[in-house]
Amino acid sequence: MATVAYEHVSKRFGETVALVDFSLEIADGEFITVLGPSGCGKSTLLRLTAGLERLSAGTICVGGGRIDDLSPSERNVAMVFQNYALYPHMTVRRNIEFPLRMRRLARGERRRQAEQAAALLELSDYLERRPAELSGGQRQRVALARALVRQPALFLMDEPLSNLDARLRAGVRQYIRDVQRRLHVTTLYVTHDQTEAMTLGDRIVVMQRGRIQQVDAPVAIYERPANTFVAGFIGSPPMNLLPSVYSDGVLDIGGQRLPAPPGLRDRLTRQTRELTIGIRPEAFVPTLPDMTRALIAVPHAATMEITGAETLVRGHVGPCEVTMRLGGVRREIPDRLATSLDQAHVFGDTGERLTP
Amino acid sequence: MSRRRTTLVLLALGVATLDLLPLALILKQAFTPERESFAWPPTWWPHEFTLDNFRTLGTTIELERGFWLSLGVAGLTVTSALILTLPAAWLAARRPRADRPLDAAMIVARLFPTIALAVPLAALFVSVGLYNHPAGLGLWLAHTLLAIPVAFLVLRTGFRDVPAELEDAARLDGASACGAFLWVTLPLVRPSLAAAGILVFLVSWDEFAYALLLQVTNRSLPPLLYYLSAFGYPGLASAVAAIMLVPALAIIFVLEPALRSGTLSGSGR
Repeated sequence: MATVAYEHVSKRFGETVALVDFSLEIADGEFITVLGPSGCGKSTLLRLTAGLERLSAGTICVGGGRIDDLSPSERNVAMVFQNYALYPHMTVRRNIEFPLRMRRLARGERRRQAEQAAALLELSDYLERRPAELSGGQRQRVALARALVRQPALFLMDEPLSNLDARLRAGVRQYIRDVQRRLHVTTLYVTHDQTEAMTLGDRIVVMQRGRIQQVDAPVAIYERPANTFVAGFIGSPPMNLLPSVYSDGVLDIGGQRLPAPPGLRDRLTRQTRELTIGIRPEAFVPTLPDMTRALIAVPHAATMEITGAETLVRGHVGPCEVTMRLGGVRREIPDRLATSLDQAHVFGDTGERLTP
Repeated sequence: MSRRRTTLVLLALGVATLDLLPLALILKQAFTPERESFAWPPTWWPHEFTLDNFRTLGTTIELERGFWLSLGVAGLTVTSALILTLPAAWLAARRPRADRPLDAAMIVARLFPTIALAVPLAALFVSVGLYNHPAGLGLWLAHTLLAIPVAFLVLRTGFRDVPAELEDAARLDGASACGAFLWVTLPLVRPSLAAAGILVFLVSWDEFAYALLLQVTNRSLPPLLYYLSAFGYPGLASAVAAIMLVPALAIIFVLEPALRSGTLSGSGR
C-alpha cells in the first residue's frame, strides 16, 4: 500500500521506442487501468515497474522511495500474469506460500497467511490440488492469492481476464474490484478491453504508440475525450469522426452548413480551418426542437442491427459514413435522424480537443 | 482388429525382432559353452546352460577393474556434462542472441571423427599425466567433450518448453535469479534432465575409440569386449556384453519415472 510516481520514464528497444516520457502520480489505494491497443507500451510499463526490464530514462518511486534500480525481488511489487504463470509442479498451497517461503517466513506463519489468502479468494477446498486440476477461473484466483498473500506495496495486473470465457469475465471483474477495495492496495491494471478499463479504474490512462493520450476518470474520458484517438477508441460502437471545414462562424460538415456552437466560435479565429467533428452514435435522435440548426443523417434501413436493448443503423452525412444507435427494438427507422452540434465534440487539425 | 492396426502390430513386431535378435543371440552365447557358438548350422535355442564363460572371464581379463573404471567414467561424465550444459542450454533457450553461437560451437565440437581427435588428445594427456590414468580421468574429460553437445540439445529443448513467464513470476515473488532457476525452472526440466542423463551415460558407457586409444593397460569394458571378439572368444565377449547390459538397463529403469514426471500443464490458461 503506497503511492506511486513515474517521472519521465522512457524505454527503447534498440531502434523502437516502447514508452515515451511517461509521467504519472498514483494515489495510495488507487485503481489505475491502462488502456490501449497492442503495442501501445502498456505491457512495457508493467514490466518496467516490475523490474523485468530496465528503464532507458526516468525514475519510478513507490511509497516515496526509488525502485527502478532494485531487482524484481526487492521491489515488493506483485504481478498477475496474463497466463497466470502458476508453478505447475506445486500444489495450490505451495503456489500461494511461495512468495512467503522466498521471504523466509516461519513455516507456521506461512501456513496461516496462505490459508487466509486462500479463504479470501474462496480457494480453501483446493489447497492440495495442482494447477492442472483447476478451472480457468480457479487458476485466476490462485494467481491473485499468490500476488496478494504478501501484501505488496503495488499490485500489477497484465490483462488477467483475457483468458477467461466471456461469461466468467464479468464476475471475476467485480471480484477483483471488491478484493482491491477491501485490501486497499494500489493497483495498476493493463488491458485492451475498454469495458474492463471503464468499470474497474478509478482513473484510466489511455495510451497509444508509447505515449499517454489522456488520464482521467472513466466518465470524463467518455464525455470529454482529449483527442481523436481517445474519441475513436472509447465507446462501442466508436464515435463518428467527420471531417469538416470552418470559416466565418460556419461549419461545413459533409455539405451541410451549420452555425458553429458559441463556445467553439470563441476559440477559433475567423480564418478557415480544417476540423474533425465527433458525434457519438447515441447522440442521434428522430426529432429535435430546432431542426434548422441540426445536423441531419440519412440512415440506410437495410443495415439495421437489432441486439434487443438497442438498434444500430448505418447511414451517411453527405459523403461521410456514420453509425447511429437508437434505444430498444425499432422496426421502423425514420427517413432522417438529427443531432445538435451542441452535443458534438470538435477536434482541431492535429486531433486535439477544442470544445470545452 | 482393423487391417490398418494389424499392419501396425506386425510392423512393430518385425522391428522389435530385428532389434532384439542380436541381443538374444548374445545372451545365448554368454550362457552356452563356446563350442556351441561355433556350431553349424547355428542353434537358436541353448542346448546346454553354463556359467563357465563368466568364470573364465575372471581369470583371463581384468573384468572387475574394467567394470568399475567404465562405471566411474560414465558417472563422472554424466555429472560434469549436465553441470556444464545446464547454464548454456538455459541461456540458449532464453536469449536468441546466445543461441546461434552456442549451437555452432556444439556442432563444431562434433565435426571431427573421434579417432582423428584421439591421437592428439593422447599426446596431450601424456604430457599432463592423464594418459592411461588408473581412474580414467583423461577418458572422462574426453567423454565429457563428446557428451556436451548431446546434453545441450536435449536440455535446450527442455528449457524452451518452460515459459519464461514462470521465471519472471518467481523473481517477482521474491526469488533471486538463482532461486527462480532452482525452485521453478529446474524441477520443470526434470524429464529433459533424465533424458539427457540416460543419453550421456550411454555415450560414455559404450564409447570405444577414446577408450581404446587413451587407456592402454587400465582398460574400460568396450576395448576388453573388442579384444575378446577380435581374438576369437565369442562366448567370453558375449559374457562381457551381457554384463555391460546391466548398468545400462539399470539407469534407464531408475530414470524412467523422472522421464514421465513432466507436468507443464496448468501453469497457464
